Amino acid sequence: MDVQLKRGLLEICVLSAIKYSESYGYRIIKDMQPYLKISESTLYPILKRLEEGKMLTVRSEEYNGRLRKYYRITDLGRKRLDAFAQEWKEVMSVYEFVTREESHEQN
Amino acid sequence: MNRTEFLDAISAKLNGLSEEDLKKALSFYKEALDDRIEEGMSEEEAISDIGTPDEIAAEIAAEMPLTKLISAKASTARSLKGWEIALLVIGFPLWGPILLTLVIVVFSVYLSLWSVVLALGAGAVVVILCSLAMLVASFFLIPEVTGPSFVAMLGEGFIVLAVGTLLLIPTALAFWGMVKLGGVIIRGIKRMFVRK
Repeated sequence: MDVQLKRGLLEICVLSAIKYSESYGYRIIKDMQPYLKISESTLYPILKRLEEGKMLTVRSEEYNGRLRKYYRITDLGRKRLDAFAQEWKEVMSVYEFVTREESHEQN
Repeated sequence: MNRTEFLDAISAKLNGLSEEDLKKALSFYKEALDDRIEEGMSEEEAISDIGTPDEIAAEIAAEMPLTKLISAKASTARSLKGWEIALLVIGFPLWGPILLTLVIVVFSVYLSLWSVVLALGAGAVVVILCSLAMLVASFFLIPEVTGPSFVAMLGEGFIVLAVGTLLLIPTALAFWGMVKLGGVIIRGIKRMFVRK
């Protein structure tokens, strides 16, 4: 996959992984696993970028005697997801056009 | 590689980061280790699952803006303490002029060396021009009037021409020496700011 495209998709997938409930790093990675493989070293800068862009908030909570960071999506993050879904509807229709089979009915 | 070594290796690779950024990154990777170990992985498995310190540093560096990256590279491994910064600010009236003077001295010494080279070059050119003038002039001496002196003039012209040409050699050498010296000075100044 194109690097730039993958970068953007990873961001969206991370947001999507926390869209119903807040989550933490390792769980985000596991939840994304079936769709886009991501490692912690890739996830870390993405989370940072999303936090800087105010698309998610971070809080630390004690878990098992240590701190764990939980990420929660913001309204701005949800808007970003909506915009993505809208944009890709168009992309999907282009995809259908590009991959269409020859139709005999139109002849 | 065990947990401590892994975390130490990461902080070594990220030594240009601010203390806060470094702390954040380390706690993130600590959490990643702990979550895996709790799930049943061994410490080593968890470490190899997360990735190498090189990968981790590369991803963080790729994300940093260039200016931050350069200043991270330029900064020393340890950051200045508060009292050191205060001392630097308070001491500026003292070290500021000294530094400025030092820069000016180095610069003017370099310039004056250049003027020697230029003088040498100008001298060589003048000598060569003189010899050409003598050679041309020798043809205007009328043998019937001045006797054999035109031959002497011709010979002297050639000698002076040779001297002038020889002078070009040290001039060229000095020229390249100065260019190299300039490079050395600039590299020296850069090295004062950027440490590997």
